[in-house]
Amino acid sequence: MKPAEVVQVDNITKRFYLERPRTIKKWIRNIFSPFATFTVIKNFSLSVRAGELILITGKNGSGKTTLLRLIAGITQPDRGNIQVIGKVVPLIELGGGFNQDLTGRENILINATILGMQKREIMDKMESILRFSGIRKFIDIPVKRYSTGMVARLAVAIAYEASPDILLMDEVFSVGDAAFQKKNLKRINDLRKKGVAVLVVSHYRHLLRNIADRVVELRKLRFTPGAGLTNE
Amino acid sequence: MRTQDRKHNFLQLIEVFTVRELASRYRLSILGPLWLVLYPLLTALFLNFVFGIFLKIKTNDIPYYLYVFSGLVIWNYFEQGLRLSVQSFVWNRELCTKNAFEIMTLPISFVLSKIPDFIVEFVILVLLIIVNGQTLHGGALLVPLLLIPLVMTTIGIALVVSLANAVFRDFGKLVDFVLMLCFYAVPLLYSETLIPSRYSYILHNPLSITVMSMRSLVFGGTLNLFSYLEACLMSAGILICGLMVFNKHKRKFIDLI
Repeated sequence: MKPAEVVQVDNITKRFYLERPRTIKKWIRNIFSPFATFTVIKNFSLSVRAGELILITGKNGSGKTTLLRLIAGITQPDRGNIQVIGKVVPLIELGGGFNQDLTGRENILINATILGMQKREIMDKMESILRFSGIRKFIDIPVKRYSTGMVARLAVAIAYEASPDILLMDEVFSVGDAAFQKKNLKRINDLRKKGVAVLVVSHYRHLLRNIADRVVELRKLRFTPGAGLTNE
Repeated sequence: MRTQDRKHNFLQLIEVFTVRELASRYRLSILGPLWLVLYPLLTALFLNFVFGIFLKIKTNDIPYYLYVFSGLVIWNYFEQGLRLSVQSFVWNRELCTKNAFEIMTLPISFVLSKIPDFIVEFVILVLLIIVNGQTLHGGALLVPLLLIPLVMTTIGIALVVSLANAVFRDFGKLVDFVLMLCFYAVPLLYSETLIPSRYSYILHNPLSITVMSMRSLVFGGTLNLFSYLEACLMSAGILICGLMVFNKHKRKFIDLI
């Protein structure tokens, strides 16, 4: 028997709002509509089973991150449906939600809460977060003093401990040294064995091509201002 | 998430965001929490000169600066809570567009993070009254009750303007302007008895009622229960409207922020 489907993306379309300049003159021209729309994803479907590792690739602007944000429920599709069974943990911008003035430890509490963890759970997992991120020495220093790699390692470590059923990762492999990437791959494989579905957006195909169950390539929709849309 | 977990997570989000706001507010300033004391005290002293000594507004034997300060405790909470929360989504754009959580907790936490300020200012008020040799009425113990309509009103308004301001920055400007008008419309600088009776409807808002209740509790030891319930009812209405508007627009909002 095949593992159960945990993500079901059914024929979705997603439009984004672009912003037109907001001056009075322009406003009168397009009254009540300072936003133009731009379709990023059109009639796209995907289904993911528990334990699958899916690599999502595509050019810049092809909607990779948007797809992850849609599955995470941060934003909604304009058409179509998305069904998700289990807990989704999005890791979309590494450390994007960190407060620069607060320490690493304080940020762990905030970030883990955002990922739906309870306080007791966070305290229990603090040790493994510190171990995986490898920044134990600097954990009580404000995050603004961290390097990009340290911020990324901390963010990744928290997400792994948030007990996901579906893990969404955006460009996690663009930061960190070879040792850290190896550690990441090992962790992802461990999670898969436990039945976690992992969706990874990456330009670094070579790292994952061999272990991914499937590679999904998104095509870019071309946008010409004023005119409609054409598929590339 | 189960409903119970969701509720628990909602409260924990409010808690961590409130603590985060409090921690980052004073961490990088030299005077730190001393600002809590300086800000209201200097404002009251300044207003005492302009309105108490220059314009000589009558306040029934209560020193003018005490009179103003008692109202400022309420007003400062409302004004600063609103000003802070209006920017909540502007400052936390990345947090909201890259993470899945109940974003409503942000403006709510920003409003709640001003409660310690309220408490400190109230303690200063009590100390000033004692130092001045005025009688402090036992009714002052009931002042925390005033936080109920005050917090509900502030959150209700904050939910709507923080949402609107993230999309159209005009709302931040509008809030500044309306706050300036309210500062004069609410009986802060003067006694409500100075308002001609045909305009007295202007007093029927949660803010004016809490300011008046604060004074009658601290200086007279009484609370007009009917007015208080009116304020609670109105503020509950404001909060419910705020929640409804927020929930209606929050899905679309993330793409527009």
